[in-house]
Amino acid sequence: MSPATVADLVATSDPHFFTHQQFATLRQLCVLMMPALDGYPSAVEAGVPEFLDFLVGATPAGRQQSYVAALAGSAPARQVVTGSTDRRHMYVWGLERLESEARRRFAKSFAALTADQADALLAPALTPWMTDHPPRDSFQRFVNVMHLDIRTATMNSAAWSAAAVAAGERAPGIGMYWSPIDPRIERYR
Amino acid sequence: MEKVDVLIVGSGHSGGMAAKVLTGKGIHCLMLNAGPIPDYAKETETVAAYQLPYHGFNMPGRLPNLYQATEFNSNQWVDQQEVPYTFDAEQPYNWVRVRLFGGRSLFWARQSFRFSDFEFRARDIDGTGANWPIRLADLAPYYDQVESIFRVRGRKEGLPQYPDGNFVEDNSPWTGSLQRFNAAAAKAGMAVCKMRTAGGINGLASSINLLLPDAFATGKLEAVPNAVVREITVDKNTGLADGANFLDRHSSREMTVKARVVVLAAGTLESTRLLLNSGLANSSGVLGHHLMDNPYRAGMIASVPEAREGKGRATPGLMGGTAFAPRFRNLGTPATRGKDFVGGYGLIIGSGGDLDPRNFPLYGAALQKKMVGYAGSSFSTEMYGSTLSRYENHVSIDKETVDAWGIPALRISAKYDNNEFNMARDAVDTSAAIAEAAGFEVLTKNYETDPPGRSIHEAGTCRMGDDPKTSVLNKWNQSHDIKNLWVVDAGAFVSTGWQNPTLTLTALSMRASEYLAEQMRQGNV
Repeated sequence: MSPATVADLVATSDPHFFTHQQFATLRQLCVLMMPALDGYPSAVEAGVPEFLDFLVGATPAGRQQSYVAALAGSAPARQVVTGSTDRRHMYVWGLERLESEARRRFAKSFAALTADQADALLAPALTPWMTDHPPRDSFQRFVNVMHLDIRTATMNSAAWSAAAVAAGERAPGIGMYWSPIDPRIERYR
Repeated sequence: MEKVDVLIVGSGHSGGMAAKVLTGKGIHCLMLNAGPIPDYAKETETVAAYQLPYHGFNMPGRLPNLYQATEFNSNQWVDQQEVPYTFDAEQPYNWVRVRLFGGRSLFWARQSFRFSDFEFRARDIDGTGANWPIRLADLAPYYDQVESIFRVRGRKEGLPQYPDGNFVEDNSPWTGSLQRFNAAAAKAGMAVCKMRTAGGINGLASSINLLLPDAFATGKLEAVPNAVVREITVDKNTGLADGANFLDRHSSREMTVKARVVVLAAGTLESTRLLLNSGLANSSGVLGHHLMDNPYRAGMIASVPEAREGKGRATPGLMGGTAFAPRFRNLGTPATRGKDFVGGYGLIIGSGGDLDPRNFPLYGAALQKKMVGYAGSSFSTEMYGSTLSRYENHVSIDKETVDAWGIPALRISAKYDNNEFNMARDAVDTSAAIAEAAGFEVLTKNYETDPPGRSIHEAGTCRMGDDPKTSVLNKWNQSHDIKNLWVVDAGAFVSTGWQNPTLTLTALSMRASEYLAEQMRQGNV
C-alpha cells in the first residue's frame, strides 16, 4: 500500500514554507504532543511535520485574510472559529513565540529544551475547548489548534491506518469522497 | 411558445412538495433546478483521508465559511467562485448552499419538530417581532401528512411547546445516565423528551425519493437540471408574472419559458435574490428584511463518573441514547420567564461515546491515559437557539458582484445580538448545572455560537402576513402584489423558532400548493 499524494511527495524534502528554525520547533512539538503509543506511530513517524509544512504553506493569504481578520478578535465579533483559522499567520507567530520564550526562560532553543521545560511553556496554554471555538488568546489558540492539527494529521496518516489494520481495529479517517460533479469547463481554465 | 401551467424554481423539499401536490391535481409543472443531477454511484467513492491531497484537512481557502465542508464533501456544496455572495467583514455570514438536484434535502439532518403557537404568536409571546397570519391549527393537517411521508419517529409528550404529531412511535427506554439527567432537569423545570427524526426510505429523506417520484409518476412533471434562472418575467399589460428567463448552466445559452403561475422554491435567500433581481413583489419594502436562523454550537461536555474505568465502565444500560429538551423558557408564565432574553431554545442531549481529546488540557502519554480512563463516558448538550426577527438583518443585491452567469450576487447583512448571546449563556449554564446536579463532571463549556447562517436554517426575507404593507406574501404564500406568484420555501417564515425549518416549510408548501391548485381550478389565477 503506497498511496502517493502531493503531501507524501513533499515529505522527503526540506521544509517548503517554514524556516529551518520554525520547522525544528514544529518537529519538536510533534515529538512532544504525539509520541508513539500502544503500537501506533508517532506524529514524526507519520510524517506530520512535513505534512503541516505543506498544509500551512498551501494556505492562501490575501482575500482569505479579511474574512479571518474579522473573526480574529475585533470587539464586535463574537464568533471565533477554526474552520477559517488563518493557519499561516497563526503557526508562524506561534512558532516564533515559542522559540523566543524558550530562549528567554531557559537560554536554549525550543527544540533543545527538556520535556519538563517545554511543558512549562505549553501546559499553561492548554485549555478545554469544543466545537468550532478555540481560545481567543493568540498563544492559547496556537497551542490548542496546533495540538489538534498534529493529532488529526497523525490519525489520518497512512502509517496510523496500517497500525490500526495490524491491530485488528477500525482504520480511522475513512469516508465517502465526492468527486467534482458535472463541473463547468471554466473551473479548469 | 408553449406555456406551462406552473413553473417551479427549485427541487428541494418545498419545490418537490409543490410538484407532488400540483401534478397530483392534474396540473402540468416545469421544474427548473440550477444544478446537476448527482449520480452517487459515479461521483462518490470510499477513500481514506491519507489518499486525499490534504489528508482530510480542508483544502486551504476552499469554503472557509462552511463548517460543514470537509475535504471529503467539498464538491457537494455550491462553488463559491461560481456563485459568490458578499458580506461586511465585521458581520460574517455563513451561507451554506447545495445546487444539486434535490438541494439541501439530500443532506439534511432529518430533525422534524412542529412549530407551536409559541412560535406562530411570536409577537404576543416575545413582545417583539410579528405574529404569523396562521396558527398551529391551520397547519396541523399538513404536518400530519408530511410526518407520514417523512416517517418521523417520535413519542407523544403532551407538551404545548412540543406539539405531538403523526409518529412512528418511539417507546425506547432511557439509559441510566439519561434517567439521571432527566430527573435533575425536571427539578429545574425542563422536560426532556424523545427526539423526532425523519426516517425516510432506504437511508434517504429527500425530495428526490419521498416527493418527486409521485410527481413524475403522473406524467405531468418535467424537470430540467442545470437551468439557472436569471429573472422572473412579468406581462407589462397585466402586471402578472408570465414566466422566467434562464440559462443553461454550462453553455450560458439564454432561454425563456412562459407560465401561467410561478412558484419560487429555490431556498430562502435564492428565492428572495431572484425577486430582488427581478424587481418584483416588494410594494411593502420588507423583501430582503427580517433574516433569521438558528444560533448553533453553544453547549457543554461532561463525563459520567460511573461509566469510567474502574467503576463498572460504560455499559449499554448506563450510557447511550439521544434526548431533546424542547423550549422551557418564556412560555408566557412568570416562572418560565428568561432572565435576560425572550424567545426559546431547545437542547439536544447526547449520552455515550468517547471524550474528545480537547476536553483535557493534556498531551502525549498523559492525554492518552486520561482518554482511556474516560472512554465511553461522554454526556453532552448543545443549544438549538432562535433569533429575533429584526428588520436590519437583511439581504440586498450587491451591484458590484455577479455570479458566473452575470447575475448580481446577494449581499448579506446580519448579526446576532444580546438576545441570542444571553440565550446561549442560559442554555450552557442551565444544562451544566443540571448535569452537575445529576452527578456528572462538567469538562468543557462553550458560550459562543457560530456565525449566523451556520445552521443552514436561514428563514424570512419574504415573510407572510395579513397586511400587504408589512409582508410580501399572504397566509397562503401568495404574493400580495402579483397574484400568480407564490414563494413556498422558508423565506415565508415570520419567526424562526428553535425548530429545524424543514418540516414546517414542507407543510406550508403543501398547504400553499393545495390552495393554488384550487385557485387555478376556479380560474382565479
